[in-house]
Amino acid sequence: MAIVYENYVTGDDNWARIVTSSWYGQSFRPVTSHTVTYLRLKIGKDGTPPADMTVELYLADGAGKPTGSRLAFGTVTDGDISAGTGGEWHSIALDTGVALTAGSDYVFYCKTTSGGAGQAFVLRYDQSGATYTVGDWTWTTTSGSSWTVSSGADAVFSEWGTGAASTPVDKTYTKMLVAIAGNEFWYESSAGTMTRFTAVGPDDLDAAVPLTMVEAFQKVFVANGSNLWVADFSNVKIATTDLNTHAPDPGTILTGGSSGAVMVVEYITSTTADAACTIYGKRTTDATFTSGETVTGKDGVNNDGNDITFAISANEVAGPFWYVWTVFGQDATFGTMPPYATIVSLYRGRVTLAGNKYEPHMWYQFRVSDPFDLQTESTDAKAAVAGNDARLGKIGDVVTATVPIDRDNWLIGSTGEMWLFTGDGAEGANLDRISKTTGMFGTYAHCIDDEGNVYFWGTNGLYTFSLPGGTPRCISRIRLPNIVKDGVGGTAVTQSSHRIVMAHDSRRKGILVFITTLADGTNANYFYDLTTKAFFPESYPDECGVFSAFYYDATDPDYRVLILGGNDGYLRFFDDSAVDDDAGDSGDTAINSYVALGPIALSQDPGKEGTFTGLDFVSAGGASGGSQSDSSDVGYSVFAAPSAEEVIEKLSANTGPNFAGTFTAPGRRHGSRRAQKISAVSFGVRLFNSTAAETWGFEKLFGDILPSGRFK
Amino acid sequence: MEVPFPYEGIDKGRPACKQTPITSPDMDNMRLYDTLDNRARGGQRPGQDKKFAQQISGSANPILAICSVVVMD
Repeated sequence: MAIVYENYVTGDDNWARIVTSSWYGQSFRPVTSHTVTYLRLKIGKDGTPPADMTVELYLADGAGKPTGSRLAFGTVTDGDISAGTGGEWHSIALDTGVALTAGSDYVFYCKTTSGGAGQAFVLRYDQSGATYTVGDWTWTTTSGSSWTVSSGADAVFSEWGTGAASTPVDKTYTKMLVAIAGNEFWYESSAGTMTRFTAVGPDDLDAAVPLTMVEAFQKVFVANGSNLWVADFSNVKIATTDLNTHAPDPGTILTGGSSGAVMVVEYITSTTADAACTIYGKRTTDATFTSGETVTGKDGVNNDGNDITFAISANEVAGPFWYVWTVFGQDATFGTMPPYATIVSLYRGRVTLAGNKYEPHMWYQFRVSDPFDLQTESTDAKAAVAGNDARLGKIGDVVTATVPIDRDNWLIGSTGEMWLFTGDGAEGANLDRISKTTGMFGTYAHCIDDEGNVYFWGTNGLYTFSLPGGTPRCISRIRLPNIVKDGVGGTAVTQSSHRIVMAHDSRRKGILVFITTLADGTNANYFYDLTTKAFFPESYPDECGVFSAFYYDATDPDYRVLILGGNDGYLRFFDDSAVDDDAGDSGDTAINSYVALGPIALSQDPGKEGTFTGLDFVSAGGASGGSQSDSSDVGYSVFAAPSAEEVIEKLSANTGPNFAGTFTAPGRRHGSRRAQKISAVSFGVRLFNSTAAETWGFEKLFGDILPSGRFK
Repeated sequence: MEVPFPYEGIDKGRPACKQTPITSPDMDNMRLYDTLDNRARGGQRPGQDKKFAQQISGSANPILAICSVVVMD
């Protein structure tokens, strides 16, 4: 079945008479290689043509003029066309299909052997302001001896044919990563490449004010205090200097009078009659809106209300767009935006806001599927809702985070409490306090694992709970009782000086807690292994201090990873093949990895000492160069002391070991055992590697102990 | 005497003399699964590597927020 390829089908405002020596046509350039089988032209008649008209196809030279031998032709007879110069669309089958090459230029023209005024076919064309960009109106008055190309005019035409056998396409969307740093908004303009969104002005965002963003409805909504913005990747834009009497409503269908283009309105900048307005909507036709044409529609819920008619002042513009996030048309009919918000999320198809410093206990939920309607006085089931987290009669706590857990549960964290919002706000939702002893540290201090368990940083450290019915419990309390006090480098964690970001690493089955100092990126972090419910501390170069994290479910599997937003503006990930940290402009930085083993009692009798006689270690890798990946060398330090706690002190201080050295890797080597006699009550071993471009794995550590005398 | 890798991670909350052999009083940049062969035996954590070559904002500013957006073709 033939499909259309190159075409230019609107805007014809004139006609040309095809006579003996005057022939007219159009050059064109296919985007896709295919076989053309017929052309469709808008043809009329000035009187009665005395002879048939042929439409001939040629290659075009660099100037767009016919060259070489005729490739194909078709014939139009008098009886094919109705009278009148207004023209009608007519298909001209070619005598043979012609293989057209993408990027090459071709030209067709209409010719005849006789005729004149009142006795001719006419070809319709767009004489002024034509916009077909890869071809031109081409004509001769010398029966083809010489040709003229008019770059400002184009015939209205379409060429049809068949291409190569189609490959099934299942993916009909593009997914892009978006990131904000400094005062700039960047997005993944092509796979693997981030580009600055230049529409964002230098003062549109303020990095000194808390900022969050969320994806919804093919857009990104940004909440940055008084800077509330929309990055619109889905709509097209048309503009008018005069809306006339009635403005479009959300969902209004607008039609271009000349172009036939159709759009569904989503957002407009003003509803004021007779005022200028910019309209954003989803175009549903291939035809595009053209400058000067009259656009019509009807307002109302079912497009059955008042007539809408206005002229647009410029051709349609394609996105992406960046515009201030207001209610529809900035019209109070659609509610009132909070003047300030820093927390945005998406719950049950509603964009939500919180973090209004003037009403810090409030939260807002927009109309379902309409992020431009915050009218809370509507009474339908999809209407916008607003509220606060408080017992009846109370003011409520300051909201610090909102977390959509699933389609029925929305967690509201505040400074000292946790609330669970269940159901839909316009249809009997519940708001229950699930903790009065802990709040949530901040906007990014939470995550959810793949079983739906919620993790967040609260008053005493890391908490978790599960739904339904669960209440938060602190899981760091036993193993890390001073996790808050220890903070970063001994500085206790506070909202004013630290950012806490949490993320679930689904591939490695763990929860990451990143604690980063706002001023300089110094950090203390934890990997909470979900397999063993264990905490593993981590530290990164200051440049790699994490300020944001996001699991990017990219269409390209190479990019389907947990993305870390670094202190220095780079997007990173944990790479199993990376044995150092890429600290950006500071270069690769060695990972200082160590583990303290012990304290280990040298005697089962706490009143007696034992004698440690030797230590041996097996690192990962088997034989060097074998099938198993090889560990690098591993350093060791052994500390002995009269008490367990003194061993811990020595392990932590890492100075003055009883003996130390390096185990050669990989695997186990002849002579690897380190013989050394130490009599003590308790001992510990520190294994480590801090060498650049190295990594290591632990296979086995064992030692020899003999009984000794009583501790004196 | 064999000393296992502390697969239950760090533990600073118990009496020192009660430190279990499967926990550690002090460690850094270690994880249960190594990066060499992804075995649960203990090993250095994976390094951080750049995923995108571009520096967001073109200078050393912290990346404040990340998300993705899906757009119909």
